[in-house]
Amino acid sequence: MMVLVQDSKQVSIPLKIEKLVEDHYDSVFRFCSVRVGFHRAGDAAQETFLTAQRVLSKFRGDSQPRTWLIGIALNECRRVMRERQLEAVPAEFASSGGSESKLVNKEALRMALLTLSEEHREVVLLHEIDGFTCDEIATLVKVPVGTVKSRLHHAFIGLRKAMSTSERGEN
Amino acid sequence: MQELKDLFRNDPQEAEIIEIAEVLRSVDSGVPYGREELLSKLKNPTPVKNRTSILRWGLGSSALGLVVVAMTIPSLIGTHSNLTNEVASPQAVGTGQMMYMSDKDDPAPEAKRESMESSSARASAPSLTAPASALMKDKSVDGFYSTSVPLEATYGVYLERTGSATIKVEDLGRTADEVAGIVQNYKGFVTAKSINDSQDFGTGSMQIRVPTVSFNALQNDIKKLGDLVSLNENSQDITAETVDNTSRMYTWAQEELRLVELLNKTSNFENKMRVRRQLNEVRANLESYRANVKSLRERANFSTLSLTLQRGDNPNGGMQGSNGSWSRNVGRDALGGLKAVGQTAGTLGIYALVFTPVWLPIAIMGYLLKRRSR
Repeated sequence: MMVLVQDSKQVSIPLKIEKLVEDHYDSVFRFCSVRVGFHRAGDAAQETFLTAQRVLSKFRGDSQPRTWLIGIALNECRRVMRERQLEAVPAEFASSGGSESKLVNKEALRMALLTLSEEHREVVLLHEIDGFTCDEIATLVKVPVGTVKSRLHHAFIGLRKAMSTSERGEN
Repeated sequence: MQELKDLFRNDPQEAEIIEIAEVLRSVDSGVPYGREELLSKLKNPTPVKNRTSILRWGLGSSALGLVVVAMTIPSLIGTHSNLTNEVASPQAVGTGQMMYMSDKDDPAPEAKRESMESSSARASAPSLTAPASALMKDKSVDGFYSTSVPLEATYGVYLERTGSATIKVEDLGRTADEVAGIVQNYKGFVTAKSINDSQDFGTGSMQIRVPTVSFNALQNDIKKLGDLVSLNENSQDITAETVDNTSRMYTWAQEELRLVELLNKTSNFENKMRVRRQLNEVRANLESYRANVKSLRERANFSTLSLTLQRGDNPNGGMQGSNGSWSRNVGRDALGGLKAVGQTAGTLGIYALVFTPVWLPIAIMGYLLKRRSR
């Protein structure tokens, strides 16, 4: 299946699903891994592209292919989370390298993320981990940019508060 | 990062917020896998049908479905009692391919519908993938162990089966002993037993738990012990509850493993204590779900039969017992009366029909004589 999209020079180029996989699989996988866990991310990413293949003919290039794919992945992850009763919190935080205090900080941050509402957490993850801009997040979650910024602001205040409370409690 | 800096510009918390954002960005999402598998799936796509063919396919499959249901219902009813705790796989559910039309590029609703459509088909997939199963293995360093839970695939149908039976027997004590023997043979157990025996009449009750696979055999054996008065059976589907609880238990087990790993990496005493506190919380949750899952699986693996034994006729007749049994007896008597009236009327009718050669000429002659006399 092939559709035409315009590249940065406004030239129409054919968009193939294989090309999308080549360019964006890693990005979609990482997105899914953060939300549904590493061992489920493969299935979720594959399902995202299979869905994309089915609806590729409807893609008109109004948004970036990556944003479009992440939109599909977001729904796929939500479905998996709903089915599995999961919380969208990066489970692999602690396994990354780093000093001991960093690891413990990551753990505290992970716990702090759990205290946020789903909407706030989603915005934080999309902005910080997936690297989307506020405008892109607004398109993805279908809220005005101002709402995204407000959620981001409140989410970080909430994170800071939860982390400092946790530190105080332990000292 | 610039957007974040703009958001918190001149905010006293700016430095802390940026630090938090940096930690967030260091998340390790692992090395992607599954790309080759996906490419091969994309090369052999499932054909997508157009609307007309979907409609035709839908009508055709619905009609076929109705025929199949009509044909299988009687056999299902007949074989219902043969169900075990894991009787059917929902593999055939919702595997149909559909395509949804939308006017916009917005992937969300389509993806949502696509996801919903394929979710039921996916429900039959094993719940644990290889890496997840590997995670379940004990890992220990420096003496810290995970209390990992061995998990099996959780899908299938989980049924809790219960039943009740009443039988009339000659000797209550002997029958109760025979029942206990049968139950023991099926590796079950009697959870409660009471016998109330008098000279003319006696009753006994037993609560029996047997492995679900032997439930039907138990019922058949018990029927042979006396005259069956009544037999009821119920099945309750506890699949959703079991899958939910197992999934949560699995999530907590993973959490526990992760914390154990962290604990083993940590050498600082204070940090160790912090992680340990979290580990204790996680273990409390894990234990709770583990207990739930164990209980649910036991409910599915063992079936309960409430057996009532009766000896002789109740000396107080239908008046004894609750109002329900009294009214039932009166109803039964009334029905018996109606049946007797019907039988009498039927008998008279048959006699009249058989004796037609006798009474019909007499009746005709009488009628003719009556006309002539006028």
